[in-house]
Amino acid sequence: MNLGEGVRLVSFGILALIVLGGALGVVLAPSMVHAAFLLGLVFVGMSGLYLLLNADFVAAAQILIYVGAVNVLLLFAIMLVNRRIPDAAAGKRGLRNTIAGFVCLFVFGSLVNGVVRVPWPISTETPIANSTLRIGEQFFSYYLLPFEAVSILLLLALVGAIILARREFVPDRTESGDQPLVLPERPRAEMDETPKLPETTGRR
Amino acid sequence: MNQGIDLQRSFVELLTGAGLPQEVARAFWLPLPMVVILAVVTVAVLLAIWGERKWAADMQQRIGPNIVGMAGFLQGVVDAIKLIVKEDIIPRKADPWLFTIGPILVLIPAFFAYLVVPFGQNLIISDLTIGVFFLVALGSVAPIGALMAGYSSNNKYALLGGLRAAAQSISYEIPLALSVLSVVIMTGSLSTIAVVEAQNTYGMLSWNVFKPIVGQVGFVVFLISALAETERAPFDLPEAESELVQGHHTEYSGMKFALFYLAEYANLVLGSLMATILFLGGWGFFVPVETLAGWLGVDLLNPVFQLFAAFLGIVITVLKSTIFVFLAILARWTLPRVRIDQLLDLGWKFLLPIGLVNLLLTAAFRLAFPGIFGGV
Amino acid sequence: MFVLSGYDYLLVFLLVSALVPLIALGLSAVFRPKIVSAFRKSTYESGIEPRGDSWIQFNIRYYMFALVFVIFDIETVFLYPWAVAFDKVGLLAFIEALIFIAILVIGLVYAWRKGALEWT
Repeated sequence: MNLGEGVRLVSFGILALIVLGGALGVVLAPSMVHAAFLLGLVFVGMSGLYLLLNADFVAAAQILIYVGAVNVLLLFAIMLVNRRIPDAAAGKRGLRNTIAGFVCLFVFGSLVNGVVRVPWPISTETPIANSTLRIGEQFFSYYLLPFEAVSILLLLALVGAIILARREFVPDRTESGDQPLVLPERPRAEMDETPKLPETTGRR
Repeated sequence: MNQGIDLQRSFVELLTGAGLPQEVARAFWLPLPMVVILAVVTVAVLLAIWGERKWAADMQQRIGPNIVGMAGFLQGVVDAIKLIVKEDIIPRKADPWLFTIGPILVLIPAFFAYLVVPFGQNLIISDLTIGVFFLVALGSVAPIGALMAGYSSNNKYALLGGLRAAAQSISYEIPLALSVLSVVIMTGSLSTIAVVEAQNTYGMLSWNVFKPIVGQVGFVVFLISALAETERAPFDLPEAESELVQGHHTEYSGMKFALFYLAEYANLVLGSLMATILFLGGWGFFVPVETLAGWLGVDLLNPVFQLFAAFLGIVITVLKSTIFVFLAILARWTLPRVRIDQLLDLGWKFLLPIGLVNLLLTAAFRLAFPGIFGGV
Repeated sequence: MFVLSGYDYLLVFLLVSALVPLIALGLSAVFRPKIVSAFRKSTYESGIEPRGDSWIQFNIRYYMFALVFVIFDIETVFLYPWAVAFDKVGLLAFIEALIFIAILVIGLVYAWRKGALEWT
């Protein structure tokens, strides 16, 4: 075994640890925001694994899309609804965790079973160095229809997301030409009041 | 073009001569160019900070730094030392882990991106086949660091600043990617070396910025988006000192603040280098290097000329990117800050459609006139 | 089998550039004074006592822009292989890419008309 192979083996070990540890963290972290950041770490680790498989373009795309876009979207969503709502079912937490644990173990077991049983075909082809070029050529010869289907899929995703988001959060603009100008974020009445101290203390 | 002087081979030969195996000798070589590049970047950052302070002072009829070193030249070094010995404050309500990781996460991509920045034919750390895409992908990590810093500070200004930084960064990533894509079409490769070489077949005339119509449009789209990505005035909404104190930097002090500051200027220098590489022909002189050798009456493979050409390449890369650094400084100190709706309108409703049209135009031109719009 | 070239540099450079901030923070940890004071650690909101929680409810608009961004980010990623292979695939691919982009422009127009790109 030469130096390069050794380095790759160690890198694989470290990346696998990052991915597995990060994924466990995502599930177990008490704070949603921590979980989202750990998810970013998992994505970075995945990108490293792609790189070890000679897929340089896919690795960079993984960073660009999953870390740069999906994770940011997740963080926005989490920070948007980040209210400290007291857990109503705090008393039943032990029971809930036990059930969840059993379900997880069952899913994990069936997955392991599948992974071990399926005779995975191992490609004997030599990997190519310039995968981006090959991907481009394949897009416009063999995978032409899927390539176009992707754009339809993206369009549908965009339209669907906008419809859902508008219904959930954004009220339709009403004709309010004759209403006086108000500052919506800080109503006048509230500003004139002095803060009531007993209410704010002891909340935490 | 040529092989240049192979420092790596001589270094490896020296070590193998001393009895080390080939691979180990190569492993010893690996960090050397990196340390050189990082030192160059740090010096460039200090120079950019000094230049900005001096020029801003001139514009405002002040003197600016003038005590430490000649014309205050060493002020940046002294500032760095000051920041090292400053107290590090983590607010009581902050999330200490995320608070510490935030600035580190902002700085690492800023430095890591220099991996594929070429200063000459062989003067690059690593010529990856996905070079340009690598730069774009690393640029997309920035909002995560800003969000982390903003969230963990547990401060209203910081959170708003972090959110704004992320929103701004993602809004301008797509126009940036589209202008980069038009360059990739003209090159037919993602490697930064290939991008520069494709622009140097006829000297200055084949630089991408001089490609009719699409070159200039792409260049302007790239400049605006890159300036917005650095989050400096006139696009400094995340900091906006008159409304958000310092944005997501508000709670930071000492070395952690210095990391943000360093990352900002490292990104500025990186953006300038990217503009040079993508549009201004990188290390290329105004005439092709063969013509230059003809003028000087020396052979292209003459070792002295090779050394001269490599040196010239570095000087030219640095000079070209200095133009962009100064352009950014000029913009910062002369233009007022845009509002957030103007910022988003500019990105989504102006630059994005223009970028798309420009990309398709580039492709059409490339098909119609492959001689002019292709490097091959 | 690993066929990509230049990635040994990538690994080492990642480690080197990760070391820079760590060394900087380490140096600072050695030299900086350690003064513990409750007032210094209070949240800075322009000298006014912070009121309420700082996890404020912010504008939904940020989320809308992130949504549209994800779609267009994926689009640009699909265009990179096209740009690289442009010489090889020629006119037909240009038309295909034109259709691809046109379909997404419909999405952009839809988002525009529906006000997803409006701040106010």
